[in-house]
Amino acid sequence: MKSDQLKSVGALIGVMVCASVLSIWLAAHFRAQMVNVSMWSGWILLVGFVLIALFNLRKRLPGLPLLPVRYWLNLHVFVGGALIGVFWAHSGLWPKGAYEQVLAGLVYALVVGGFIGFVLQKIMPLRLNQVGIEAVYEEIPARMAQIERTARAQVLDAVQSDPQSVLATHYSEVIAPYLRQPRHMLGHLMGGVSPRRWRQHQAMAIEKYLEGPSLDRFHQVLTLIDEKMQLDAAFAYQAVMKRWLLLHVPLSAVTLLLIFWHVLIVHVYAL
Amino acid sequence: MKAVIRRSLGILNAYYRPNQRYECGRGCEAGGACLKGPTNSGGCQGVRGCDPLKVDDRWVCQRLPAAGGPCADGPSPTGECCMTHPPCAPKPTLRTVRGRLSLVALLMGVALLTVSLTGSEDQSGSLALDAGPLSPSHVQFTQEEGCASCHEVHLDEITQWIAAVGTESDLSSQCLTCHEFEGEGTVPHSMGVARFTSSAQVGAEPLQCAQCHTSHQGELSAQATGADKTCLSCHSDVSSQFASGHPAFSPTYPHDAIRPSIIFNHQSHLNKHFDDAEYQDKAPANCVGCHDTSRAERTVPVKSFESVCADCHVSQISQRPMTLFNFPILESPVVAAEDLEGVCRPQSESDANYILADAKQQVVALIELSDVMKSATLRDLAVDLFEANRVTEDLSQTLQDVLDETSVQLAKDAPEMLETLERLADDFAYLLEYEPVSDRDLAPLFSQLIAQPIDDADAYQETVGELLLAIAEDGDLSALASLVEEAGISPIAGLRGLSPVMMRDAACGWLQNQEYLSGFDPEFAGWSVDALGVNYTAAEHADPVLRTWIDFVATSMPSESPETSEVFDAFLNQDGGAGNCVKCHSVLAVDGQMQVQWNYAPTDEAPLVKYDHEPHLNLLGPGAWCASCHKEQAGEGFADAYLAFDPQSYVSNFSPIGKEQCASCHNDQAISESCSTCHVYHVGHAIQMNVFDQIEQVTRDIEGHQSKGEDTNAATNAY
Repeated sequence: MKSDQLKSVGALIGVMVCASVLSIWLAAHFRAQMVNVSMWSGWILLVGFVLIALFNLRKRLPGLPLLPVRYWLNLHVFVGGALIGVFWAHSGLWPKGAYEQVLAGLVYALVVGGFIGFVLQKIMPLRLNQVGIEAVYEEIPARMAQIERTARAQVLDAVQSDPQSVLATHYSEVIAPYLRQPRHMLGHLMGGVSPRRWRQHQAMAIEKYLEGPSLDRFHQVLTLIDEKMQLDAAFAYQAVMKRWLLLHVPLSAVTLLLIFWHVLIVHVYAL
Repeated sequence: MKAVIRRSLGILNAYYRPNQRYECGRGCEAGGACLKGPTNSGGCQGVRGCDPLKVDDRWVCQRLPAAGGPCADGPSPTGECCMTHPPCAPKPTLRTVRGRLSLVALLMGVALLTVSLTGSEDQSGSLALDAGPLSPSHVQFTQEEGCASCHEVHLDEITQWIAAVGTESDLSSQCLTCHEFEGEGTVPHSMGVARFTSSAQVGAEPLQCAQCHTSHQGELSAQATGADKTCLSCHSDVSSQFASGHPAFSPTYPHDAIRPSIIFNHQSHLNKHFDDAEYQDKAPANCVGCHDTSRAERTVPVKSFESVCADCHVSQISQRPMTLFNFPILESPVVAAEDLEGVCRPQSESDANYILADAKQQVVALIELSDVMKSATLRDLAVDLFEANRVTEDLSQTLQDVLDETSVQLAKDAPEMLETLERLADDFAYLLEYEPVSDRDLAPLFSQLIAQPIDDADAYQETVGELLLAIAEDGDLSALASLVEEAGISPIAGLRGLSPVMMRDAACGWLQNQEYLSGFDPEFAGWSVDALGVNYTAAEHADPVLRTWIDFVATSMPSESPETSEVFDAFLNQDGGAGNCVKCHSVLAVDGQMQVQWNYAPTDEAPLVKYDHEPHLNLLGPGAWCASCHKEQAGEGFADAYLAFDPQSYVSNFSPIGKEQCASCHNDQAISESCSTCHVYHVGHAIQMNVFDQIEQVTRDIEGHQSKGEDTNAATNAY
């Protein structure tokens, strides 16, 4: 991770720690002053959650002369991080009521998920740069299909010149399924060697049975496998950047709903 | 190269539009997505290579260069594209999937709330309303009404429920339906305003219970969340450092405001009585001889009277009996003698009986004189005399008539008899002339009871007469009991042990203006009647009868100059009061009323202090004991201070204790010095009795179910 990205993650952690310490200290201070800290921190939380939820709305309104989205993103990330401190001041680490525990669980899931997403957004672009290929996420499946078609053509050529070649069988049973869709996503994400080891294993497994044109064609197929491996990596990095929101956004929606109910109940019963 | 061309034409990703709802279903194929892409509702638009354009009379292929440019075959004569293929199945984009997941999550949230709210009849225990477990004690009293026990809005209609959103909930008043304090629950320290001594308290904003106490925290519910800072938020003139920031104790601490209820002069006992050879063997060895350290808390209470005081003081109790009633001086007979016929027997040993018996003898002698017997008047006299059991006006008149009739003849025939009759006439006249037998005033206690002066016979005669006659006629104490009850005293407590027979006999005697001759030895304890009075002697400590009357005297006595009252001397004088009670039990004037301090009660001075002797005793060890802190102080005025009825009038036998003494241990180097170490917040906290009644009712009902062999869980759930 480069220093800029490290700084960003460090800044977020710093904001979270500072906000937590400050919130807890302020809560203790104001509680000693007989101030209704729960009420005030609750309102701060509500306003904070609504504010960071507006980021999603802002992204849908590109035409309006609002601040650039990057400011909204920073606001979303850092205010969200700071709210965890306010949350602890509001209800402690883990509230007692079953409903509040559900709500706290959602808040923790949101904060943890958001933090992980933020870190991913900082790490993955760097790793994309290291892949050595530029690929638009939505185009990757088509490009993989194109690679598979090219590889198949190479294998067909080899079979025509050497009908006894084992390349056709090996291709249809092992290589074609690999080329048709993204593979080794976890291996790429974790930075492991499994994709490359797989490629070497395939090469060693078949290479000694090939000769002449079949071997040449197989070497061309291996080049396509290398390209496919790069696409796999690009796909894995981009997918994780996009798909973590499939968890974060629905959680945000249900959390906001339960927060509004909580505010309502508190005002009916206690305030 | 191809990608560069497509980018330069601005059509790269033309229909890879992740911000739209659908993407082309052929995005995974080698040719990639079509250039038209799906419709917004998910329909395929890529079944044709292009939409041919009619130019003049010919259809022209419109296929884009990125898709290969115009095709060789071109459109059909009817304008249809020659490159058609089956439609794809457009796929939702990630954004659409995200939106759908969000919608599902929202619906699940709504479903969760709805199911939770409709789960039970009164929503008690509903997840959507579950704010956390209550403390065990709060669980008990909320069993019956559930949430509505504290939250009135809980079972309201939905309109009221919604209206409650904008209405301030008064939860503190709900707390105060069970919790009560000395003063208002929402004023600082819950103290009565009279106790306010700090400027921080005066004019302070009302507080709410929830500012310090949280509920729905399980075992931790209702515990105050206070800390030193909470105290200092109002008490800004002190700091949490006891040694340096706490104000100095008062010069007389801890003997500041309220004196002890028992008058015990440590100095005279320790230095005088316990050294006296007569009492040395009864004297305690040290402080714990009298003070019970096993019950040491705020105070170290003394042991019982019987175990520490009785050896020397119990005999003093019976030395001072109480007089309830004296037959007082009366101006005239209370009741005419004839009205007592059938009510009281004549007093057998009285002058009247003697004279009457003598008269009968003399009349018998007269009758023996034959001439005199001719007198019809004498016959009448004889008949009247033998029928009468007391001397009456009629009898006296008859005797006078006989004298008038026979005096001449008797003077001649029997001058001694004449002399005897004349003496009898004088005796009858003497008996009929009233001379009060008593020279006493009304007893002060009875005077207080009937609210009449002790020496105004005109004022009390009628009441006394009626009472004695009622006792004599009824033969019981109902009249006296009524009188006592009217004064606010329970007859059962005040007249316990008083014999109605003894009272009737005494009343008969006094009604006949005679002294009562009792066979009861007045040295015995209990009720006794002497010649002219009804007395009570207590034999032991804490006699309930004597205490009842002393309380009556105290409460019915004016607090202004009570010493001037006769009844004060009889009961509340330290040197002469009945039973010698107030020699040790101090008397106070509280709210305009005198009050005898019967119990050795911890004073409520400094109610915010929670000093506990017990750990200090252990800390100091048995060798150090009390004198480590409580040092004797020579000086006068201890006993005199108790002559005043002001509870603040007190001169201690001990030196004051300074803050330094506490700070030697309670400092930042050694033992805790936080505010809550020595102070409490609330004053006079108690739980109202109706709460316990409710809990008892619930317990009884459950036990009832158990005794019937029913399912107690069902019974419990019913609440």
